Amino acid sequence: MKPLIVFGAGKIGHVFSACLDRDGEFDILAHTCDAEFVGDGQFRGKPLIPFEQITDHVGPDQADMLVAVGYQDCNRFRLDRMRQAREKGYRLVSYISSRAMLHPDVTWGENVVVLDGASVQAGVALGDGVMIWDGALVGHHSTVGNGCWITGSAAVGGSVTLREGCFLGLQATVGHGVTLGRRCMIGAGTLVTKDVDDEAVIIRRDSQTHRLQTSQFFRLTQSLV
Amino acid sequence: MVPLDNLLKQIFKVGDLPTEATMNDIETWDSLTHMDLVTEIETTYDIALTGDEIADMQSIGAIRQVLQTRGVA
Repeated sequence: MKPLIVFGAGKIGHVFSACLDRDGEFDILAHTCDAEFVGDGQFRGKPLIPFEQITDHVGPDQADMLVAVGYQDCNRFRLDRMRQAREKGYRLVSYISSRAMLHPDVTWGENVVVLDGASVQAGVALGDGVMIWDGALVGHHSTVGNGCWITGSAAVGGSVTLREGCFLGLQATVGHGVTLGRRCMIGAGTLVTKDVDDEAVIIRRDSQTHRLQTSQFFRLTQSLV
Repeated sequence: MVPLDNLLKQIFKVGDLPTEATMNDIETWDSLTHMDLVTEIETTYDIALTGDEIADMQSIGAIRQVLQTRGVA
């Protein structure tokens, strides 16, 4: 197994390191995070070391690193910590779940994570720091820029371009051939079929609460057989 | 005021309306059309139906019964 340090001691770090443990490709020697969040110095049974001191404990000659944090500041935080990890000399590794489906000609950069059930079709290029969650689809010949975050069950059509730092929420859909500018925030359940500029925010209203209560609604619909 | 039969035919997009028809008898009568019907009845008769009344209105007869109880038909 390849020795690894995981940057991240929150919920995202938990999910990613649990998947890493399950697949067994990497041996997580330690977790790291900013000093103010170290707490009791333990995370998932491994040492939790301040990032500022990580080289004193597990050096870049001893382990690679995966930055496993969320989409804070529309993915800037993760890209920033990736840059700092490189400056400390660490090689950033990617994790492709054994249960993800990637066409053999898909290419990806450093610090990429693709989780269970995600499907990435032929001709796709994933940049550095891209995170693709369970069940998402990235269609053929799409280009996913550095730091993009594609949440579970989002669907990206063929020949789509996502520029750096885009966030796609649960079940967001981006149509064929669409280009999203840098750092677009595409909310859950949205549909985007036209190009949008940098920093565009696209969201939809929640579904309405029906005026019938559950028991009344069931009474009404149970007669529909 | 629009007669109830005409209102129902308009909502359900049907030409004939059997007197004893239920939700299962009219293909276009589903839970969403039902709420269109409720809105139309409330507007036409200037009443606010309760959740229980809405849930009970599962046949033409039941709709008439609710409106009779409200004193508007």
